[in-house]
Amino acid sequence: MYQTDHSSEAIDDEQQIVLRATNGDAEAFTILYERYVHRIYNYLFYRTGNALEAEDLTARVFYRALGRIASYRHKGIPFSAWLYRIAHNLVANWYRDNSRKREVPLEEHGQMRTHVEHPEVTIMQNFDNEKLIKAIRKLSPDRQQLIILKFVEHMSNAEIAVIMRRSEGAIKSFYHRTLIALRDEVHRIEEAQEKHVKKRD
Amino acid sequence: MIALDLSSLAKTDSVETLETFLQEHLRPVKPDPDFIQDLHRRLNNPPPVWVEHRRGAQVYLVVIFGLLSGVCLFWLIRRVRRMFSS
Repeated sequence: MYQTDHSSEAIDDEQQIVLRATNGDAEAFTILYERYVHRIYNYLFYRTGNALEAEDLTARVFYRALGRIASYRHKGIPFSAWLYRIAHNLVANWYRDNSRKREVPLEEHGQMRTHVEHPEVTIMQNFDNEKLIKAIRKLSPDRQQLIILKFVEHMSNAEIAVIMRRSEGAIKSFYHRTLIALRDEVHRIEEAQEKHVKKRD
Repeated sequence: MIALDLSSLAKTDSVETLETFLQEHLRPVKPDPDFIQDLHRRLNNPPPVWVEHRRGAQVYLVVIFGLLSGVCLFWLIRRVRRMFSS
């Protein structure tokens, strides 16, 4: 789990590192890369549902960041928000170019479990995970982003608001509406599955 | 703590239950360490970029030569035709 350090010292430290990176300091860019690569990968993994696509897009995010870092100006927006915006735009292009929303292969969910459980429990959880991801990926891109930032990255509403360019209050209400939309998707998926099982029997 | 499953979740309208389910099931994934290292290496050593210089004058000369040749050929064919017809 990633921890976000909000202390003013940490923010100042990050600003210094970003400033060095904008001036072409490769070591500073490496620090930023090591700090954010896992988060960006996670975001892209959950958005694409595919480890290879997530790797490809993660590489593109950092290449683009490296190419544009010289023109990066700190305007009160954290560097992480800038990276997430690049990732968000690239994944939107990816969806447009591919014109598809790929299903998440079941075997890839093995990576999501961080502790070992009884095989039957694991199979059921993987099955549930697959359906859950399917439901999430039926939501709009903004709603998917909100769910990932909230539950995978464990960000606060204030942090999400910065990344999604909305007010904290707007995120709060958007979050509630997103949960309702996701619940409805889960209902639909379960109903469809029940119908399928009845038909088969 | 009793683990929630999706089918029982679908039977409830509570968003709080869904929130708990999401907290239990959505976890950060670990990227392949080789990929992380390889990308780091590639970012530090970007491949050389070949910049092609414009061959402005050469290109213009070839185009002009081609056009003039075409005009000459056209003029020659017309002349030969006229000779034969007369």
